[in-house]
Amino acid sequence: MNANAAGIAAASEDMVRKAEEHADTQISQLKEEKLQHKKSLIKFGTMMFLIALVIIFATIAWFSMNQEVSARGMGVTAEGETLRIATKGEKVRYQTEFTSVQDTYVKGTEAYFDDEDGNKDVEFFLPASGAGGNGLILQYDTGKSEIGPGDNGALSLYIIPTQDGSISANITLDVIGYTMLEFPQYDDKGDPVLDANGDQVVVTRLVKTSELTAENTSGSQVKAADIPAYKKAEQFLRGHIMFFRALGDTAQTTPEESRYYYRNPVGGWSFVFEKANAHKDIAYRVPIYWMWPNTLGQIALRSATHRNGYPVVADSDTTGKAAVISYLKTQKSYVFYTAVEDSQIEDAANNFETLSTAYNLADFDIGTCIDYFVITVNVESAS
Amino acid sequence: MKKIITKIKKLPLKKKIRIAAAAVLTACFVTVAMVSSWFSNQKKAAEMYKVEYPNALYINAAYREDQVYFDLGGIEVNGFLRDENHDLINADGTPLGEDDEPVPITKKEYVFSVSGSNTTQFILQMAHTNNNMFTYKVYNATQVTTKPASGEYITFEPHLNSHTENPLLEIGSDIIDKNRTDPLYYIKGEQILGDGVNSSYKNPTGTYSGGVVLANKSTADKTYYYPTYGDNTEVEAHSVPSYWQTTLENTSAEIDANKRFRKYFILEVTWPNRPASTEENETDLMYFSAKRIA
Repeated sequence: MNANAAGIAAASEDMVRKAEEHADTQISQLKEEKLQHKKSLIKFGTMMFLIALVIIFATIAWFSMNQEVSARGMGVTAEGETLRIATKGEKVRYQTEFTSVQDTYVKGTEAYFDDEDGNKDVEFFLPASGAGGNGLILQYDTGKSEIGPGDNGALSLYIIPTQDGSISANITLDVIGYTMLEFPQYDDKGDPVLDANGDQVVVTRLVKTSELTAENTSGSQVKAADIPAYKKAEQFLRGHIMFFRALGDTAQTTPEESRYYYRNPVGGWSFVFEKANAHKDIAYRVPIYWMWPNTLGQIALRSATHRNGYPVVADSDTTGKAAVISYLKTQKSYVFYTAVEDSQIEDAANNFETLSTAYNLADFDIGTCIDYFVITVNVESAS
Repeated sequence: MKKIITKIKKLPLKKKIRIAAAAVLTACFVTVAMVSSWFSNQKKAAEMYKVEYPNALYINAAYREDQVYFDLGGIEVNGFLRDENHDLINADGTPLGEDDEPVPITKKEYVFSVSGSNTTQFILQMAHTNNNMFTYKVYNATQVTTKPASGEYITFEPHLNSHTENPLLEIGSDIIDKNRTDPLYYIKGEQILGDGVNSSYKNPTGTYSGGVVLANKSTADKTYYYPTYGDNTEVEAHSVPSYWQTTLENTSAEIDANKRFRKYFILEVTWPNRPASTEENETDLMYFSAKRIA
């Protein structure tokens, strides 16, 4: 019995030990697994850190394409948001037509800001939020919408900084022409489709002048052979719309011979807008004026002899005068219909007929080939 | 590359999922970061304008019909006044009595128009050769749709399908109805061109007198004669054209909301009663031109 009992006891002891051993292994195995899991978590974390690094580097790299990156590169996200643009005015020019040809620019969203003149809660329009951000359609209160030679106006553009400090913005301008294609309609038999008044039905479509092709103009008033002339006309438009940064003096109280339209010609299509000590959430106007000078004499002549109308910049403004004459020379293929020499532009008074005719012929082509145009403004933070 | 692919293939499913998720997230973050930074850094704005038809000037017939309807042909210098039925009449329009003398015609009038846009001032020029014994004068004219009760006026009957040259069909309240056949009336105003008014005569002066022009065949005249005839001095005198010019203003009342204007004119051709000489009675060439100043 004893021996049996002792044997049983020994056997059960052995079982307990074995069970304990088994449990230990299980525990250590679990521990091992937990450790493994932790390890992989750490690995994943490292990966996330790497991703973050990649994002930061990519962002910095992006900004460094446009501007210098300093050690203050930490403020990368704030950097892009240093300013917002806005427009002011109750009316929108040709919104239907403009919307029909593109979807980058949309009407802005109403927002209220104080302006630099101390006016409180002025109504502005900021770019509407949207996928990837939207371009802003500028608005206006007064001024013509149908433009010909001799017309001028101002863009209603404002910059609203998001932090105190100086504003420095690269402003780039462009002029894009559009042509209204007219397609007279014919029925299956080739007879004109007539409306109630007996006039032929004409379908119209607005197309970027630079994108006219033999295909998209087929059946319209634009003949394939004339397309180069249309494209040239758009270049003339680009040359004939001149930009300025400050108003001149055309007041009735000023003697007629002293009147002039503008100061600070842009002399091209880009400039830097600067405002020192700007304040957060205050709207600062970016003065941009444009003019389609009526006659060449207003630009090129240095005195009133032969000139019709007031000069675009004052004759006494030697810097401004030099800038517009230099513009005529560098952009002569955009300004003149026929080839002219720099020397002729320099001595405009003695070559006036040639130059003036070449200028007017270009005007005529603009008028016959271009139906609408868009002035675009890109604002890029330069600081 | 192959090695990486085989390594990835060898990885357990869990790890594969993790890697895939990490890659997608990375791609998303990078793209979003780049796109939003681009847009927040570069702002775009734009404004659209319409281009007005600039500097356009059109010379057309009455009612701005195509030039072919400004027809100067068929002047009968020895004709008499007649009514619509071709019967002879007196100057007051009554039928010619037995004792009345037929009334010789010494005048014929034609209506033309100058229209355009974006023009406040233009020069109207009349140029003509001098073969005939004609005197040419231009008068201002006013277009009305109802027959004037009195005064000098010209009646014009519009033609169908006659507006192909001038796209300016609507100028202020003067809107062209292409289907109009009812007559229009042009009331004669003051004389603006031709002999006897203060318009400038553009030929070399000296031999000019009283409406008959003999050319000054001077090649020294670099302004008018030389550009046309060069060194040739043996040019038949009557074929040297006479040039008459006047500067016309468009008042703000004459310019409509689209900066368009139109003006009507009457060309009056007169000749002496029963011209004695027919030797010089040939064809005259006549040009009208308009040049925008401002």
